[in-house]
Amino acid sequence: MVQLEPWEKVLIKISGRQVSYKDIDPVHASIGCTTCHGGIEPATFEMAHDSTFVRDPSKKPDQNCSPCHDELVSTNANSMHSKAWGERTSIAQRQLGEDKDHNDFESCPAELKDGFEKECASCHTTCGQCHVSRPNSVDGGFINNHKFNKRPSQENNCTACHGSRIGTDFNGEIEGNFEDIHNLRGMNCFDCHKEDFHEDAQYAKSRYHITDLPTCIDCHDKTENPKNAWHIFHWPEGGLTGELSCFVCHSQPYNNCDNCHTKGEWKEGLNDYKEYPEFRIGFNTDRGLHDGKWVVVRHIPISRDSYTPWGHDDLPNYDARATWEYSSPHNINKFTAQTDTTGGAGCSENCHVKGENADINQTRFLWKSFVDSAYSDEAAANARVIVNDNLPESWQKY
Amino acid sequence: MKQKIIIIGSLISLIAISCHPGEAITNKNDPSTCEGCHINKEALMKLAKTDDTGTSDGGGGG
Repeated sequence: MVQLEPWEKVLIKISGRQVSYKDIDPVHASIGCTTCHGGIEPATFEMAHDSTFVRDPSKKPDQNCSPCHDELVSTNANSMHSKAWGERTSIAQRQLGEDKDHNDFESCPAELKDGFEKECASCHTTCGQCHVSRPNSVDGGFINNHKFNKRPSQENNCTACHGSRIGTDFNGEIEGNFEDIHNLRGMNCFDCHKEDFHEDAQYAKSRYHITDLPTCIDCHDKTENPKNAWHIFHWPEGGLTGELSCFVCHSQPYNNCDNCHTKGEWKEGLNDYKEYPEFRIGFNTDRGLHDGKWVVVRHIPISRDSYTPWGHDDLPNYDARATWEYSSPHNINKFTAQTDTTGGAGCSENCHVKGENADINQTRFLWKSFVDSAYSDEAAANARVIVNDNLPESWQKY
Repeated sequence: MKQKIIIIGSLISLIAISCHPGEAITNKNDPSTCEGCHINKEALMKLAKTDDTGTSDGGGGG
């Protein structure tokens, strides 16, 4: 997103009949600037921003957001956004072993923990980066004249961080894609995401383990159109032939990433870091967590030596996790390349790997040959996700 | 009676002060106050031109 000018980031724009910040946010104005931000007032510019000045007081929420928001401050200290439990699980598993999770992260070597705190944790996040300003990842700036917004802004907060995947997908920014149908219908993040963002999420080893996450069937019940043959055959749980995640049929190509994600490579495009649209169907290795025998998978930017910029050697258990991971693209459409039945063709002709379209349709699947050739160092990590051994016997293999 | 008024008046003043521990000092024309500067677009633009430390990294988290 376009960054704000330096002065623009800190301007509190008084308009209409407003005469001061009190008219924008009377409750927080009554606390006074220096109570939270430190510094000196009245003073010259240099004195005002002396060593006691704090740009983001909510880095210390127990001091500056309590006592008014005591309960939120208490639980949010362990929320998914604050702690990034899923990232901790990923690192712990690739370092310590497959049976580990976020609770074992503290047993990782010091350089991994230190690098995580300095880089990953710096984005995951403070109260102010959701409720007052744009997040640090886009270099900040007041959103609404320093008014504390109970509901974060989708554009300035949510997709400012979740931009390269969620935002890009939802807005249909990948060439050839349409925007997500829910976006087209005027829905926003919070129309679906009703989970408690401030809850203590220490129980969850990844974002997909959070309770009350939205699911498609919250709105789209199987009985919605009981004669829909495709749903009868492919419903995620209970389909007659192949049970497919909803995303297998209804998502479009989505952003994938290659190479490292540390030391700013993802921002600068260094060391061959790249984002690219791709669509691949993989085998679901966790039916207890995700519906459907078949799901869509996304390549994530992790390599055996991802953490060498942090002073860490190769990850000893790199193969413990797939690098093509379960994904839930936010670019849903009723008709996609998979479900397009223009001209009377059945959607199986766009997907099943047999007959005259086999060579085209096979590009939608995560084959062993594809991983071996394009991601040769990741074959072992993805052995359980590749599709070869689980597709129907009558289909061609690649 | 006069003593009671003084005591009650003092108490009310104390309560009023303690409930407003650090209310923002407002003066649109006085850039020496936080608000006087941060509501003044011209002042901020001028500062941004002459100083690249304070305003350029401000406003990150609120």
